[in-house]
Amino acid sequence: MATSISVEEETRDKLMILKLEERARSLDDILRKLIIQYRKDRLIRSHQEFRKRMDEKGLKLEDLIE
Amino acid sequence: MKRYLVDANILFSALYRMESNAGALLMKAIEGQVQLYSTENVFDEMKRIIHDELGFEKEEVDHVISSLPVDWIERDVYMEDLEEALREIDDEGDASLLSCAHLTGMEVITGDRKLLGVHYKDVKLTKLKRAVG
Repeated sequence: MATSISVEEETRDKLMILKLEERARSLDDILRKLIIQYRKDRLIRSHQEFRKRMDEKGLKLEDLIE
Repeated sequence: MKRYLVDANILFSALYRMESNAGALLMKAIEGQVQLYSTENVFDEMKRIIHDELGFEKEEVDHVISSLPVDWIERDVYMEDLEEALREIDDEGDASLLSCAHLTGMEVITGDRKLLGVHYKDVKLTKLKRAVG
């Protein structure tokens, strides 16, 4: 079900440009893509921090899951 | 959309090596191709390990856990079966997955050989490779 959200004009314009650049079907489509990319980036940052800490502690994966 | 219950070892594997099958599964979940669930027991176990073994602060632990594309199922949902599952396997996290799988009908994805060898009621246990395809 569609609903409306309120954004600044500048944000709307940037979204419209992204929509054209990405050849997205709609603003909803481009927002979905942005959310997916944001969640992937966030997961990768967690992975990097997790891996860094494991290496600092000299731990291997087996040390955590056994 | 296919729904799975995931074990802590799958989530730790993904966090350790994103270019693994476990990492691919999590990416598929973010893209909406599969839906991943796990239990409150697994949630607690992961929080404890990330805090105690890796020395993350509480806020950092929450940040890592919340970045996982997993919906966490509360104990109330599977508690009624947990005691019986614990007679089958002596690990609370594993038992919680068995109970939850039995009550919800979802398959469990795990890399744990001990858990993969368990036959519990109608529960289907799946290796990661098969789920990623």
